[in-house]
Amino acid sequence: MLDQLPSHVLEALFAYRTCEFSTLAKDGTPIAMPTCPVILPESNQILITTSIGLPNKAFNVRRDGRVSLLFSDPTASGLHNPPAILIQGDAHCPDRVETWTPELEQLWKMLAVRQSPANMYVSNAFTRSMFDWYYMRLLIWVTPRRIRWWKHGDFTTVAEELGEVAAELEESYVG
Amino acid sequence: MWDKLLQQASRFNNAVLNARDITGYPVSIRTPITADHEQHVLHLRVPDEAEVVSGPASLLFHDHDQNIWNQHVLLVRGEVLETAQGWDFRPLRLVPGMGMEGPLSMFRLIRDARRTTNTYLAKRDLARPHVPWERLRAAKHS
Repeated sequence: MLDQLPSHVLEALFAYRTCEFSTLAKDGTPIAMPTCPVILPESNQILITTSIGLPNKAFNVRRDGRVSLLFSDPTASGLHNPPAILIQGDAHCPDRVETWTPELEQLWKMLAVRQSPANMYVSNAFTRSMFDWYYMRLLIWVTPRRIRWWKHGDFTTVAEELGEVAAELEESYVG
Repeated sequence: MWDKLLQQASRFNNAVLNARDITGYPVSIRTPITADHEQHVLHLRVPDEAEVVSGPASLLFHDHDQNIWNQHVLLVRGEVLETAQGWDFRPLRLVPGMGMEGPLSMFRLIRDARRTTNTYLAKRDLARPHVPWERLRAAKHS
C-alpha cells in the first residue's frame, strides 16, 4: 500500500520529522504522542519505537492494535505546505527489548542528522549511564489499512484516499 | 484546570484532535481551537470525512525546533461532542509533558523513565540489556 502512494505523498512521509501516533488507552481514549517513525515502503510497514522507560504506547498496542498516524507538522521538513497525511492501521509490539536491529540502525542514523543535540546521550560515560534506558527499545510495527491526505495540509479541502476501505467502498458501489 | 489549560495552550497555534471514527479506529485531525469561556469547551473544526464520532478523546499540543529539540508537549484528555454548531472538546484532565513545566520536568522525566525501565526488566526477570555504545557512536557519526 505505501508503495502505491503518489510520489509527492511518499516523499512528504519521508520528510516529516515527527508524526502524531495515536493508540487506545486502557479506558478506550485515543491518546497521541509526537514520535519519529521509520517508513518502510518495501515491507509496507511503519516502525514506531519507544523506550522501555516510556512503555505506555507499547502496552496500549498490545491491548488493542488499532492505531493512527498523522503527519501534519512540517517544521524542519524543508517542505512548504506539504500534504497532511493520515494513516490508520494495525499494529503489533513483540515483548522483546531491542538495542540493535537493522531498522534501529536506520532510525539512529536518521536522528543523528535530524536530532543532532541528542547525540550527546552517547558522548561520554556520564551521559551513557544517565540515558542507557533510552536505547532499550520496544518495536511497534504498523501495517496501514487506510491512507488519506489533504492537499497543502488544509483540512477544509476534500481528502484523497488510498486504502482497503476505499477499495471495499468502490467494490460495493460497482457491484 | 480551565485557566491552566488556556495558559499552557496559549503558546500553540492549533492542536491535534485524537478521537475514534465510525469503525472504532483512532483518527487524528489538526484543528484550530477557539475557547468558549462560558461553557468551558474548545470549539474545533473537524472535516466530515474524518468520520469522527462523539466520545472519549484527547487533544495534543506540541512543537519543536529545527532539530526536533526544545520540545513542548501538552496532552489534554476529555471528550469530543458533535453539536448543532459543529464540534466541541470538553477537557477533563491535563497531562503536561516535555518542556511544559520548566527544567525540573526534564529531570522528573529522566528519573521516572529510569524507574520504569528497572520495573519493566524486573517484572520479566530480564538482565539489563547491553547497549552497543560503539555502534551507536558510529551510527551517529556516519
